[in-house]
Amino acid sequence: MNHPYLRAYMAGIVGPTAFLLVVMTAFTFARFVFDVPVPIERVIVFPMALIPNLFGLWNMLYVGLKPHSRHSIGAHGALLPFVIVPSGLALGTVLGVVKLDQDGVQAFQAVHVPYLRAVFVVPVAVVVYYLVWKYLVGFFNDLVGVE
Amino acid sequence: MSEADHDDIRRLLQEALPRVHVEPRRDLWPAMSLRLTARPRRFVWYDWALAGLAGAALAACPDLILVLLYHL
Repeated sequence: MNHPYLRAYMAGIVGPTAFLLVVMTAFTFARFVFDVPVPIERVIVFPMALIPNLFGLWNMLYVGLKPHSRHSIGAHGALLPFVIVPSGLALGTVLGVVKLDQDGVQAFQAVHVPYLRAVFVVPVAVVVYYLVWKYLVGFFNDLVGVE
Repeated sequence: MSEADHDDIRRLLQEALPRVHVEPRRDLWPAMSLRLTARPRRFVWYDWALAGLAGAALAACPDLILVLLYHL
């Protein structure tokens, strides 16, 4: 098999790159249709620039670890939110779109989520990532011959 | 620069650069088509349950939807 890491990277970025249209549409509707004061140009940096690359790199890691490890692709993908959520929080804080205060998380100058509810983001993200990696990234890996 | 000069330069470039094989050695599509039509993974019951739980959590806390989209 030629260039397995390049194939893995390409298979990894397909899903989030295509889904970016959905994310972009949701934030655009929120901003320009429902007049939610989301600073869209700062918010979109993370889903647009970092997440597809993280997916590609995570899939390369999966392909690299596969001969030495028996964990499934779904389990591997379910671990990615533990990298992505802190990264998103950190970048959001640096860009001024996420603020942590005494009551909870102020996100995108539009949503205020109490800590008790913000905790739910991680398990929901883990479930979504597990399913996406098991079915979508797994399918693309099959297609390019790295599964 | 005349047309003859263009022809000279084209000929010199073609002689200097190695010929590129633009056609693959074999037809790549049959293998790809076979993979595309292979039986897809079946969505098992516990994955439906997990998807339902995630959907229910988002329905109960719709303010998390934008936060979740930011991380997808």
